[in-house]
Amino acid sequence: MMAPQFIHLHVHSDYSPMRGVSSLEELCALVRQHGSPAMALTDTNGLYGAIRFVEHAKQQGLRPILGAELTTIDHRAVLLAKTPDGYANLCRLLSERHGNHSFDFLASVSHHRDGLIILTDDEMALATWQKESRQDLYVELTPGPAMHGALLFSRRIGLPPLATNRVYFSSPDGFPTHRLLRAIALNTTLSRLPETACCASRQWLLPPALMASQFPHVPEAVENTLRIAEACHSDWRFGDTIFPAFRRLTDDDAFTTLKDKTYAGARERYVAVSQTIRDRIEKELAIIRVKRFAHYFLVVEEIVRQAPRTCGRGSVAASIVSYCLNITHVDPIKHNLFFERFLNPGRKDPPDIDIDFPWDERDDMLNWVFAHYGERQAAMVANQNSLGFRAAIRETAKVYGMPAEEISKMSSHILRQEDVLNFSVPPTIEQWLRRLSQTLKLNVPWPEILAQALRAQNHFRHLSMHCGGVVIVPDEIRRYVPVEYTAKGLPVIQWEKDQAEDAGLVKIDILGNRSLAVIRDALAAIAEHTGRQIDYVAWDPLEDAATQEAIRCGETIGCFYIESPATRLLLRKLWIGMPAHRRKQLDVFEYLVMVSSLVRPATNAFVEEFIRRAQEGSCAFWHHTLQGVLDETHGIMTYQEDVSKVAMALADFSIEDADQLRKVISKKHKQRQLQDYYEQFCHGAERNNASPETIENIWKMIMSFAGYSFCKPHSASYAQVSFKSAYLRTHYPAEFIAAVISNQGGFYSTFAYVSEARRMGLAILLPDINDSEWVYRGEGERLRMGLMQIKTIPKELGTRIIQERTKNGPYRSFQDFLQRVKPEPAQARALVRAGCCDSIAGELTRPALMWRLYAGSDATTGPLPIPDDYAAAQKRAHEIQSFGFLASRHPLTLYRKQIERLRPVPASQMHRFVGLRITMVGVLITEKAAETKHGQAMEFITLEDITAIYDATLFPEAYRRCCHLLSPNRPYVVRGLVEASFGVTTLTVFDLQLLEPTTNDQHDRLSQFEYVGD
Amino acid sequence: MDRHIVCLQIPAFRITLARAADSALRNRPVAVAPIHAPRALIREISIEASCEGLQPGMPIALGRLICPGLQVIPPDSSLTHAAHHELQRHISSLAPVWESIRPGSLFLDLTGTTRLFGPPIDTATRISRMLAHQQGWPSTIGLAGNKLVSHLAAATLTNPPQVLLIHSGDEQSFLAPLPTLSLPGLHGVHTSRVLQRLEDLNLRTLGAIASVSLTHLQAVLGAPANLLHDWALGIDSSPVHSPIAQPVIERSTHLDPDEVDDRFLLGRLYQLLEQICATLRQRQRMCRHILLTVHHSDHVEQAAQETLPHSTYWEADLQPVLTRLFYRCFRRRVRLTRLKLEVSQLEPPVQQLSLFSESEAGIPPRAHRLSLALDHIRAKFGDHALSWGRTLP
Repeated sequence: MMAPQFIHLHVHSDYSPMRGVSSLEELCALVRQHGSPAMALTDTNGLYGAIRFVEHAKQQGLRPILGAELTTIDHRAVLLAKTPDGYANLCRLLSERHGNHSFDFLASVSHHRDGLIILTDDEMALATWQKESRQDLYVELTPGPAMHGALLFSRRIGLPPLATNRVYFSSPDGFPTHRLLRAIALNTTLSRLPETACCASRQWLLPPALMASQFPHVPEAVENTLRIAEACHSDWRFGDTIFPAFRRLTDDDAFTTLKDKTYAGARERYVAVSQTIRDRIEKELAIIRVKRFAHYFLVVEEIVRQAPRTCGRGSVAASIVSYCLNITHVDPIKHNLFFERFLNPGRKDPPDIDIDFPWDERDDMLNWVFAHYGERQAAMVANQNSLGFRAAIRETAKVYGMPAEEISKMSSHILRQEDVLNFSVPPTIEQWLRRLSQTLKLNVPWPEILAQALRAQNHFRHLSMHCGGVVIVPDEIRRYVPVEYTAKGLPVIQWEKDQAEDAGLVKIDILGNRSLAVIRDALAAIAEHTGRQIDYVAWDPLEDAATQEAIRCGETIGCFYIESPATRLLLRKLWIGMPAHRRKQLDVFEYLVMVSSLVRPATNAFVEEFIRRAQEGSCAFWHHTLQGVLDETHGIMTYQEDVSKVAMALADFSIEDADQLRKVISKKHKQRQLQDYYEQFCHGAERNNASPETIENIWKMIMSFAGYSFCKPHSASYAQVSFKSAYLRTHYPAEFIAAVISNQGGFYSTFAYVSEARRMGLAILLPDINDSEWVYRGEGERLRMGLMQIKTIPKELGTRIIQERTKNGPYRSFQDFLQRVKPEPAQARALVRAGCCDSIAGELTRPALMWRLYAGSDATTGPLPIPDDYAAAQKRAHEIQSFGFLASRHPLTLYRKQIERLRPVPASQMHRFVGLRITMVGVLITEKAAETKHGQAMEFITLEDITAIYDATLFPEAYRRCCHLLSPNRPYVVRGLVEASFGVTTLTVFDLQLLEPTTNDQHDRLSQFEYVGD
Repeated sequence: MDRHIVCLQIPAFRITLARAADSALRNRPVAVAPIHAPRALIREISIEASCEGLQPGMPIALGRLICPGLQVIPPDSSLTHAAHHELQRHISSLAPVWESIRPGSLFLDLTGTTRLFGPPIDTATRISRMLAHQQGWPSTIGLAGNKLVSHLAAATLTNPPQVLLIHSGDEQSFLAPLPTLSLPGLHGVHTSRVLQRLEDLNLRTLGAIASVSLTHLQAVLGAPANLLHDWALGIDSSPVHSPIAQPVIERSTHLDPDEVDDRFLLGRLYQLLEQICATLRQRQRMCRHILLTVHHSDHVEQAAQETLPHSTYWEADLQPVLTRLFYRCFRRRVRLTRLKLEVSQLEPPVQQLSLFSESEAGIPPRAHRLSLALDHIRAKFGDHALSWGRTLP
């Protein structure tokens, strides 16, 4: 091999936000092709792709040099990590650049120079730094008009020159994409893009010989690149796990503390700690000790202890140690959860503990973590947002000045065509564009926009915050990774969860969960209304017969995780047709765990088979090696760990490989690895005499776990919260539904929950100034709407109204209210229109209250008029404007005459018409768009009439005709065929029309439309 | 003397013009709105669209949701303005004074024309017939003693061509059942507060407002109460203002395909400017005001204008101004389909003669000489004989 002539030490990848064009993979491959032994990655102000760079460089046999181009408005310099300490200093500098508004470029670099090689043509910076030390300072020479000046400066000051090409793209054709990215970033058009905002067209990854030929007059500038590359550290080993430290304990002390806490917890959980329990604890502790995870468990336990209601999600629920520490609440022994799914001796990656907190307590928890560990030790994990294909089309089209609606139309056309252009092999960009242009008859400039958009897609755009991942390190986080700040002021590392994990940083997910808040609020209301105190941790409703029956019937609207139409349908299908003897045998909780895992994309084909086998009690398997592997779930792969189990049994995977396969399925950047596993799977299965057809079918089922899927411990943990919700719904419906609506979450709209409350027999009471709280209140058979439901009323005013009422008694009149609370006129108006003041109005109508509100204290006018009250339709319109929906009655009651004429089948009687075509009416509650096997659009919808909720399907033909009419909360007449599957009826829609109003009153109609917009 | 004020309205004027050109638009719901802007609001609707529940000001997306068969046509200000000029030309022989309300709507003051043209009601009817027969423009006409009542009278008519006369003294009984919403000017941003209060107070008709004492109305509405009370009683003394026409020189260019490149667009603009300057020089007029209007692909128009410190007909003076106007005007990142340049405030060139006989002072500047030379060449060899490089595509 020839000796290298030049090494690129200033290269930007597509991790330089909206600047760099080429991917790391492409750059590394090209550098390898050039025969260079090394390359430095110097993205702008960040190490966003450092871990991936090391991975790709090693794959190509290159020595990866880590660095960054540090820039501010006035200065710039490339910093290369010469030593690991230099890397830490680089991270600190980048963190300071992002976090300190008064960042002093010259002073900061000067302060953190140790272990860094600096190259720049910034004369002022070099002049300043060379006064302290001339070591590792280089004058950067880049071909172009400024090079001569830089060379003269280098000679004048006596600092060595260094050749770079400030690379932003791998080949010259990357320049237009660079300009496009800059135009997108600066919200401008190509013709208005300032030249200074872009690099020059020559800044591509020139081959070393060509680079060397640019510097015939300064050969030392080229030679210096080799010297520096040799001097820089490149043996980066990021894999070592960095655990948080618990109160600076030694490993042994931490383990002893964990053991003591575990046994103390076991005595509380189990009362009598049996030998089985003891054995399980010891087994887990042994692995924890070997892997030095004790600190991690103690840190998580301390966080969890700050909140009384949590739910440990993910594989951690398989651990008895977590159960004893109250991190999780599902007994792993009782529910047969295997610890190996969470930790096993062969697992190399760090464990992952995810904890749910009530949504409104989560920010406090994060604040506690940062208060406890400080920003020095803790930071949030990032999401690295990149330009997706749709965004790339949209943004590129904007740069080309296309009107917004045309962009929307074209991008939806293109995305719809994306998968149906029938290419037998993956097409090149040109082939794809040609076919698309022909199919859609694209006009100028759309083909050019698309070609550019394809090149711009997947470029890193900006960081955002991961929904709850926190990393805690024992010393200083800025040693390991640069830290930035979110708009809320939280520190966030520059890596997303996969790079953080690959760098050995252990993530703790602190997530918000609305249902935990629902349970908390419902329990508090129950204690207040009935005096019954339920202890969340010790509470076990799994054996409650009424709750079990409610779950069997799919009466679970409002219940955590099992309220969606798909889950309710599956529950009903499973249990309605269940033979009586099987019904008695089967445990509702166990099947709820399976159901929550089965409701995920791409499982339709398996779900019906699962129901049939569950009802029969049978278990079939595709291959003899799978016998006994999936018995628990009737031979259907249900949980994530089933992937590993099947790979081990059918294709002889080792436990480590099988676990890795499970992990890579859901990771996009590991597609190549997945291909390797696929081949390994095929060879292994063939060795075991599996037919190609069987192998393909099983692989297809394994692939159904991509996207999202759950392990059994996770499902069990969630199913327990579902069960608790269902218990509250069954026994305390008013308190429960009030808590559901008050926490503003869930699958359905507030309107749907209010309707459900009405069907559950609760009386809906409108908000009242003397009776409402800020949130909804349920008690007995009444649901009182809270002041929170009135739009434009801020929480501060609501709280003031309630505090004043509690302190000085109910409001006696409207004037009394105005004098005591002193609301803004607009706020008082909103309360009057919402009917909140009716109870204190006396003989005054609502318009009369308005007269008094607007006249204020003007006493010169004499007695004010008392006009007639608003018309009924006007009051309804006010109600809709105030709450977002009609609360005093079901909206379908406004269409009484039409409904009488149509004589629709009530939803509660639908099951009597199986096989018949019927007409029904209903308000649209939810929609779920889907696609047929052939890529045709269809939709599952849920409607409700006054009697019940029902599900309907719009197959492609009906969907094409009616989709433009679909809009949430609008009333429809639907005609279709009642079909039954496993005893559960759904409507296959042939025709869908809007239910027209009873009168031609335009005002009524418009108010209906206003309410649609909400 | 009794006043006779006519309010002439051609409902949905833009739609009427479109229907005259395209019979497929007749008898079906039609709305005018910018086509390629998703959040655009409806500007005008046909009667059929109104029957479907649509209203001007509604988002076009909501309009399509309510009325799936809605035909949307883009606004075209040049077409409507031309038609409005045509309308004025038609009525000019019958009304001594008229005032434009908006394209397709006018106030005519027929006071004192009885001896010349006959009773005002006959004149109004004649105008209505003339527009219907000659242009195919069905109109609604209100005739009353003031602008407010005649305007409301015209607005209450829904089946053009129709004429409604409100006799003097009948104003209050005519106005009483009308909704407050029908009052002109209550839909603006600044007056929406008044409208909201009227609704809150359940004063939903002009009769209801008239029945409340002025003192009470002032207590809840403040200053607007006086005018509103007068209006509710049918009192409006505002005169009909006649328009004042200004000579204008205008040049425009259509861009097909639409364009977003500054260099190209400025080139086309400089071309227009050269044409205008040549015309000005030919007519011996200088301009003091310049107006640039750009039309985006989503039918949004933007305009920018500037009054010059001194009048000129030289490209060298106007080009920097035009460049400035272009950047002020073209701020949205949406392609342009049309550029229109107008110069006005035209005046004859005034040249101050020199008191001293200095030969140097008599020579015009180089740029002016160049412009004159170009004029000569183009006059002799055609407009395209010679072009500036910057104006080439």
